[in-house]
Amino acid sequence: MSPLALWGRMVLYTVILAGAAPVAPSPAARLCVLVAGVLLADLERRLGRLFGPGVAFLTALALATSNPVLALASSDRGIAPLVSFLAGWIGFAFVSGARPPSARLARWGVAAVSLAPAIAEVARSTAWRVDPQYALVAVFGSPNGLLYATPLLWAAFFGNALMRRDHPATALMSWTAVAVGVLSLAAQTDGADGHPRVESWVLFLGPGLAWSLTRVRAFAARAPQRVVAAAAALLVGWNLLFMEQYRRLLIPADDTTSFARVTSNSARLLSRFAGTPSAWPANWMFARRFHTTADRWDAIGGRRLFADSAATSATVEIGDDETPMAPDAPLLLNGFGDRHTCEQGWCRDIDGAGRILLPLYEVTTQDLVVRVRARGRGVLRVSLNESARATAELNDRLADVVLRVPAPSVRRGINELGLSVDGGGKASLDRLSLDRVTGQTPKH
Amino acid sequence: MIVHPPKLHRVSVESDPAAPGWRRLATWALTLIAIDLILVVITGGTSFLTPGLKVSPGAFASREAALGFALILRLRVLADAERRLSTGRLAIALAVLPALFHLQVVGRRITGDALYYYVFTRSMVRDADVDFANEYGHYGLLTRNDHSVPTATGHRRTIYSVGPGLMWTPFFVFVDVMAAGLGALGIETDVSGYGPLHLNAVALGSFGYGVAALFLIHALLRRHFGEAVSAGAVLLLWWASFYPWYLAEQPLTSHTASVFLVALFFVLRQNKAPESPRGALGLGLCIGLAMSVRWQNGVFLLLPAADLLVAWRRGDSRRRLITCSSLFSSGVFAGALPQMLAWKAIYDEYLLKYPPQGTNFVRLDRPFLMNVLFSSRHGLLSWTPVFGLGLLGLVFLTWKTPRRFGLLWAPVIIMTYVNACVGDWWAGGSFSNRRFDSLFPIFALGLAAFLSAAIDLVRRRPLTAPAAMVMGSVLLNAAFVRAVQRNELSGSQPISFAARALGSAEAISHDVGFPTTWPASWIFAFRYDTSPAAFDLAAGKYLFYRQNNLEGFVDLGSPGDDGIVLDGFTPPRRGAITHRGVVSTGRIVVSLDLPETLEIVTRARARTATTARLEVVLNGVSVGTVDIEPEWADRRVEAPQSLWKRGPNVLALRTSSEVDVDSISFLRLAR
Repeated sequence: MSPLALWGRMVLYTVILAGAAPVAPSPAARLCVLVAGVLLADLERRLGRLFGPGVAFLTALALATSNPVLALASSDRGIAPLVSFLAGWIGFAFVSGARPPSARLARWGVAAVSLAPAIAEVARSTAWRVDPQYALVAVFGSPNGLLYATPLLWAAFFGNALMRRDHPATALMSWTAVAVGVLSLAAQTDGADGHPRVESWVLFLGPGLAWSLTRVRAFAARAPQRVVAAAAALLVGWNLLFMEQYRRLLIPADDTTSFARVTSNSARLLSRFAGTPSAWPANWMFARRFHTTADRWDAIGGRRLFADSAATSATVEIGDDETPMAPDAPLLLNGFGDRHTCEQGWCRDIDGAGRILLPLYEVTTQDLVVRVRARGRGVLRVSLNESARATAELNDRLADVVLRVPAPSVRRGINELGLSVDGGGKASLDRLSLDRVTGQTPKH
Repeated sequence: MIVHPPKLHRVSVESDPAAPGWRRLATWALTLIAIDLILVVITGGTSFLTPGLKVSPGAFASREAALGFALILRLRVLADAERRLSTGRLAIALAVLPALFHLQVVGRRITGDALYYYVFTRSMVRDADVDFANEYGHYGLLTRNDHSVPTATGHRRTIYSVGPGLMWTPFFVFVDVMAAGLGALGIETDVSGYGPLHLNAVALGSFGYGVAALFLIHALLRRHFGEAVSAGAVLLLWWASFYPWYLAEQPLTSHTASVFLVALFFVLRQNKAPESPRGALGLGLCIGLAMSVRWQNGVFLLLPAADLLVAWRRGDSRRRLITCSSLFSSGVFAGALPQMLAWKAIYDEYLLKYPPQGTNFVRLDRPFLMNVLFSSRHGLLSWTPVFGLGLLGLVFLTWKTPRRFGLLWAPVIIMTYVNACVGDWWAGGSFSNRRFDSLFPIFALGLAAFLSAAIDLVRRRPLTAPAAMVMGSVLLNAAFVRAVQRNELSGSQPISFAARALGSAEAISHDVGFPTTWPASWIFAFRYDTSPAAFDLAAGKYLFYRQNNLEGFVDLGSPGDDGIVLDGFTPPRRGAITHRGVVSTGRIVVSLDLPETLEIVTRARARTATTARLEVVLNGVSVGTVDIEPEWADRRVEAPQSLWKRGPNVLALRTSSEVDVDSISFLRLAR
């Protein structure tokens, strides 16, 4: 790569990252943009030696626009992500340089680089724990899961696993860095900002991605008609989803509509039918575990009702928001009717039985008090994880049905709140309030 | 163009003495399953394979799978090499199965236009006339304004063509025969002609025309593009357009029959049918009948006319040319005669001077070209971009062989123009713009050319494939980042896929317009100094014109007002009265079909305790200034006809201090 081309690339990547920055970026974010732009240009140069200039450029471009790298510019976490990214680059440069170290040293080196941010965060944190669920969310969770946000990086994972024959040393290093990095995602601390810690090993996805793109190029040369057929299949898929939403009257049959809404409806149908593709297979596992549709994973997978372990209250609105943006609507599983007004707010009815998922990751030693604000007729039964139970007679005014759950009965992760109305009754639910308390059970 | 020879699987059935036996068995299996499926569709679930059990969707799918298997076995694996079904045809045949499932399980029967086409069939078979009084009576339509008063001949009006109903008669009669047979066996059926048996049979017949049309189009393309590309183009055009909708969801419309006849016309013309007297007669009959199905198919008469001119200039035998032309014309006349007879019976005229919808139905001086192609209200290219690829391919074709394909632009341009001039250019309730159905064979030719060019490009520049993948990824993330920057999405809170798609697509639409609306959304944005996203909801939404208009009332703050508001208004403010605020200048866009003088009534209040001045500006010209008090009140100004434009108009409210606006009404003066 000529010096001029290198400069051009630095400018390009810097401009891309600057575009992702907030309107008034902090000095740290500006520094991140500048340094990351330079390092990405260097990555392209290094990959160019192994995979050729075209594929190297595409790989660097894909990484520059991948969620973890864009997050460098848009997050306000100071220079910590930049330090991680820089450490990753040093490691990458070290093992891919003209005089690479011994395989063993390199392996330990990249593993340390991948693990370092997790160790640093754990050391800084007051509360941390390890759970595979966290890694699942960090990789497949909305909105910033590594593969959820940038599904193209699947190609990097496959590439790193399969390129062993063509580039054994690079494959081993990259695979080690990525594997250790993914494992480190299972460590979670309080106050994490929702972006997975991948800056230190994201560059190691480069070789795998480049290898996969090389294979795609070779396949395209060999069977161009299949590539065109795959593109055509996307067009067909778009049309079928469009047709289905028209059939279900999700858009007006004879009026103008916004194509953003059309896109959203299509996404909803696809996600409901098969789960969001970029969240496979985590969403299928979730659906199987909670006997629900896979589309719920997106809004629940990484959700925490309590902001952190110090937070003492949280609320779930049952019917207030009808838009796709509604944060609480996905928590309601089966058994809920359409939203309607009740007193001053919006409610949903339960006919028979309903379930609500409560993601509670920050479990403390305090008891949990669940207040269900409801009205109707009959007896409302409330239970958490089919153990703690409470019942209350409903009347035509909204009132709280209170369930106190002892701390040991609250599961770390997703809890299931069961609601049922006895004897052909009907309950309209307004909201759930959750409080962490010590002491006496609060009265109705 | 790349022509791939058909690949034949090497199965040594010729040398296998047992093959004829297997073939016979497979033929029987294929026939039995096919007949059973037809029976299930017509009866709505009765099968002779499992009598007494209603066939469930799962069982129907199983039968289809068996049919597909038998098809492959009989027509590929066990067939003689020279009679083996080509891969392309097999792919099309197999793709029919999911469409048939759709027809059976979710497809509708009598909805929308279907009723009006179907009454022709029933009336012609049952009553041997086109007097729909009894049919309209059955469907409760006799009290409707347009049907309550008989025409001069004592018939009831229809604005629909006779052709589809005529082409469905064999299926209607088939059920009559079937019902008679069942009756003889003591099984009672609904023989009124309104029952599910007749409707299902006619729907299946219409489906059959649609499927036949696809094979005809494939035959048309094979001559130019080879097996694989032709099949790919047919399959892509089929599944990425409005065709599945009118094939299976709403089969009782004119579209499949129209595509069938036009495709047949193209194949006959390609096979030099007009050069023989019999062929010329057949071609004429075909296009005449196509005109009875959809009147605009008459546009295709241009093609044989041009052929005739070419043959004349080439010096072909004058006598033969005159004979063939006369026979062709006779065929056209015979094909179009049913429509003329129907009009004569209903309106007492063989040829109507203007469409039965009214003189104002087609307004050739008022085309809505951008809207008919790009609007969110059933724009052809915005809803089904595959047609855009077809047009692009047609450009390639014309560029390479202008003599052969250049003429095809004539029907494309004429039909597009006419569709753009139709009063309801959005084609009423329609998936995409169904009125372009007759151009299907031409779009297929273009699409095949596009696919050939795309395959060629990928072969020559294979880096295109990974580049496309990376660009997709870039777009995905860039859209999300923009959505976060615009505060449409949170950058850290988990959200549903639908919400992410909504925020991302809104960001794209806001910044550069939704891609399938290009360039119309850019032109709109440039003309009205707004975001290209405004095009989606504004283009095609009228104040007064036709169905689903605003009825002259813009309710600010209510859901859906974002299609009217351009800029300058605050987000909706909820409360007893939902409204929006204007701090300095707020703009809305409202569309008129024709300019007229309107009174503009603004319901507003001042945010402060003092009176605010509000200037109403229409298309850049001030039409009046009113005082806005702190209490809600109506303020009126009159906007003369001369200030209004046909299509979108920008109304700006300029204020000296902040005001809340509840609604803006547009009142027509008494005419």
